[in-house]
Amino acid sequence: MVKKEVKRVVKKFFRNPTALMGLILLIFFIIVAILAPVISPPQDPDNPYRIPIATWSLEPKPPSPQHPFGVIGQRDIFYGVIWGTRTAFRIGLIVAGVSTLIGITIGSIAGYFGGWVDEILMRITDIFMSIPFLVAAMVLTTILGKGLDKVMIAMITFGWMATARLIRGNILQVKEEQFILAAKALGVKHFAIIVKHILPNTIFPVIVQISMRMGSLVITAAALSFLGLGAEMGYADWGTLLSYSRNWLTDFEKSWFAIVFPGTAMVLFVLAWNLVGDALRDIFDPRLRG
Amino acid sequence: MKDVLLQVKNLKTYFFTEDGVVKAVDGVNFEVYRGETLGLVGESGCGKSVTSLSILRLLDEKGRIVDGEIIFEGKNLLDLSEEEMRNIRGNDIAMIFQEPMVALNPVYTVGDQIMEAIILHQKVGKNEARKKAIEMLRKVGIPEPEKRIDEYPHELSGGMRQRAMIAMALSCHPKLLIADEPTTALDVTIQAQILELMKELQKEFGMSIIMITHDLGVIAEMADRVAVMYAGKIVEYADVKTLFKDPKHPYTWGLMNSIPRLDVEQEKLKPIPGIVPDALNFPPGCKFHPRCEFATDRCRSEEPEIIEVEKDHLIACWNWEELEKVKKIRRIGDAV
Amino acid sequence: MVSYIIRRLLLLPLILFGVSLIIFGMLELLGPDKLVSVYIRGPESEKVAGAAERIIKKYGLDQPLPVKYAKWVGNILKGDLGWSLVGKQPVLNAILSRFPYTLELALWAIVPVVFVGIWLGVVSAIHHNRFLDHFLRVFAIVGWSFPDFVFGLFMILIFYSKLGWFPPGYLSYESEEIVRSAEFMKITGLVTIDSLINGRFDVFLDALRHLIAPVITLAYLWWAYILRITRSSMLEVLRKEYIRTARSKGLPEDVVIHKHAKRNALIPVATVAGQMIIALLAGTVIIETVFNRPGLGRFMATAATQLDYMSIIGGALFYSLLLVLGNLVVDVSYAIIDPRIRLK
Ligand SMILES: Nc1ncnc2c1ncn2[C@@H]1O[C@H](COP(=O)(O)OP(=O)(O)O)[C@@H](O)[C@H]1O
Ligand SMILES: [Mg+2]
Repeated sequence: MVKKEVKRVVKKFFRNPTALMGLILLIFFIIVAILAPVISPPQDPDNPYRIPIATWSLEPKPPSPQHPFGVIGQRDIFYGVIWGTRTAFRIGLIVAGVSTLIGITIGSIAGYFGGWVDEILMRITDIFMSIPFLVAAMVLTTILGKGLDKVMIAMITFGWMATARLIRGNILQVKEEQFILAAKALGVKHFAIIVKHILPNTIFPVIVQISMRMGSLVITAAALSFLGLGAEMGYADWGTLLSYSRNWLTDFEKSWFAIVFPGTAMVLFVLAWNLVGDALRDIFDPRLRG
Repeated sequence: MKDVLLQVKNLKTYFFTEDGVVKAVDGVNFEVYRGETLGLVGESGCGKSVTSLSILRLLDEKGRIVDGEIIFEGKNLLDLSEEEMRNIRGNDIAMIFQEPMVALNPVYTVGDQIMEAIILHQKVGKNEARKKAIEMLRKVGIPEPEKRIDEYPHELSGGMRQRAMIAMALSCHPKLLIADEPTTALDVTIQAQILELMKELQKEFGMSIIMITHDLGVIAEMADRVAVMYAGKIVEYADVKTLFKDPKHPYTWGLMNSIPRLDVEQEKLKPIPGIVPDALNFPPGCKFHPRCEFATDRCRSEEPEIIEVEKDHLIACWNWEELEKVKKIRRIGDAV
Repeated sequence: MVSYIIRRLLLLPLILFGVSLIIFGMLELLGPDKLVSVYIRGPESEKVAGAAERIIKKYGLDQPLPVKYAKWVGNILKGDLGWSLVGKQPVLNAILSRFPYTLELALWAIVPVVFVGIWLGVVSAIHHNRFLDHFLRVFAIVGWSFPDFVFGLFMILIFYSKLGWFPPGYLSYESEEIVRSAEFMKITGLVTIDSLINGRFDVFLDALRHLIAPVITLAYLWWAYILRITRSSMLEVLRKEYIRTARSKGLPEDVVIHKHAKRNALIPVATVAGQMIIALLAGTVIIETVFNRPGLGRFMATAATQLDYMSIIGGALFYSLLLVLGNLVVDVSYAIIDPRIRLK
């Protein structure tokens, strides 16, 4: 059943031009991330994420053959954009991955056991959703003491609830189906039932959710870096790069490249995930089928 | 000679989907006389609803009527402009649907939805329309119509909802009522009440009805004449008595053997094997041949036209004489 | 419906209790030593002998967790959210004095978001799979992919750095003088309204000039979002059987769409409206920083970078309270739109 579904998805996916464009963009970014050491060889191989100092002058420099994206805050923007791709993937995949795992665990327990376990876990979910995500992430990051790792911890802490709800809802639906009842009748263990029978049936909506969330997670992390709570100065991170431009905004000639290059990289990265996620959602959402 | 109200000629309605062309209705012919009830019967998925939606031109964007004519009171509905068509909908031809729960808009009161049609077609004011709506609700047997008119669909029981649907459909005294499985979603006693109500109202208003159903019991109860549909085509067409006494198409015969009957003693119920073929890839030849015990090589390669084999009794089958023999043997068997 | 609202109201204290536990938990992460130094930074107690002891006693810092929590909540309920370093005043005052600026920005953004977003969504659904629909879909997804602060930076780059039309900030220097003067009556705290009350049309226009770029930046994201929700909800509703019924009555297409379909389609849109308003308010954290506008958002951002823990904790409590109350209002109004819930 799962195999057939995958085939259907692949077929539909490749018929959708926007989805294809998203996929191509995504592959492009993956290649850039993998080839980062080739495209922009680091000066200090032990510390490749540190953007090397390009000049001692504080003035930004517009693009030149030597620095194709220009220089701001004494750093080469091109280097930062290339290595920032890796940072974006790392943040997105780790946060989406871990928070999804937490969500799956909590949602499975709530959905499978039902009753008061469900009630308690769902109320806790409600409560975690009652603090605006950006504010919660900001406060926890600050209290943990700033830095990219703290940003990720904060985003994971407040980022598992949607998955938990999704999984729970799906499990409640699947639970009533015949083969689960049959497995139960045969005395299969709870854990085995969840892992072997229920989760495979709910895996597609989760994939859609992850791809839809990747973009917004990277945006939030970059925003926190932009505010000065995430990556430290000089780290190859799109949000940090963008924050350099803040001092030079009054002068178009001295700031446009510092916004346009990292900004475009970010928009395209997020767009890639959203296009792929959107296409997957259209394919999986039974209400939009037909 | 009786007066023809609606004539459907060689109707073909296809859906152009991503997966291919769905030939939901593929060359259907029938007529409806004034004041009569035509039954349209067949298993689910054979194209009954699409036929009725085609008559009112209410297909969704993927569906297109690719061929045929729908003559209503001498005019071909397919030639009318959208605006002229709107004047016919709800006014001359009305429709009721299978699921009264989903066929009524949940956010407006029953009264509002009935009055809408009255105001639109009879050009009367709100108060007048309300009076007429209450009158209509009373006619369809809804108790306390003055109160019920201001209730929302979900406040009514299933049977009451279907009565409200009927009131809505009949509020402008249409000449033709298309009822698409009007009782399928209801339980048996309510089913009987609704059918009874429809008969009474038909007498009162003198309208024609196209009764769509998969239930031969409903057909026996309601229809004057019957068209049996299979895979987008009419396979048998006769008046109701003839059909029940002497079904000539193996499909009709199979349908009758698959329902319990009180008037004939049956050895055992025998459902037709297999299912309605997928409209995306019909079998070649007669579409019924994979399920037909009389199928020959000819049936497998050539599609039969519908022809008159006895007076006013049409069927589309190459091998119907074979069935006649079997029926004769059975009858002898029964007698012995 | 009454019982529904009562159930909803009963849940409210539980949610608020839970939220306070989470925020208290975050505060506890600082550890006892740091906490003393955080609390001690208030003006009355700074560097006075015995201040640490007083603080420890007031907040129960040497007590077990439940006692500590009770004291913390007790102080908050009394309106004592601690001392704001960034604001140089009590946190509650700092928050309340900055909130109107943020509210004004968010309110201005809501209007275009709701009206334009819904309109675009309906248009897109009506033109399903035709050119306009494809165009709007692409517009929506590109819009949704544009991080708000990047969009804001682009806005400044084009409309300020290049064209000089919409400067960042809140008011021009001259207008700010007028607003600060004694004869300018501050009634609502929203400068676009107060300026009209005072008959200062010049100040109003100046405020608007500073509002346009941040409002568009806040709004475009939600245009895209509302468009998408309205569109898919509309498409779903248009497939419903009652739409077919409405058409079978001979109703003209615009009645079918604007009367029968839209009302049903807007129910899911209403559920995200609350979420959206909160997100708009929270979004000002970034937007106010980018556009250099005073308000709760920039206050939070500044407090965070300067490790002003009391302020950000207070801010988090305030935003959460808004969110919880906002959701309550949405749920209740949702019940009013949809009679199926209203009559339960
Ligand atoms: N909107 C549609 N798009 C594609 N196929 C459709 C659509 N509506 C009906 N069909 C197909 O047309 C055939 C006939 O359907 P229908 O008329 O609803 O059958 P029934 O006799 O049960 O009323 C079915 O195979 C169905 O799948
Ligand atoms: Mg049907």
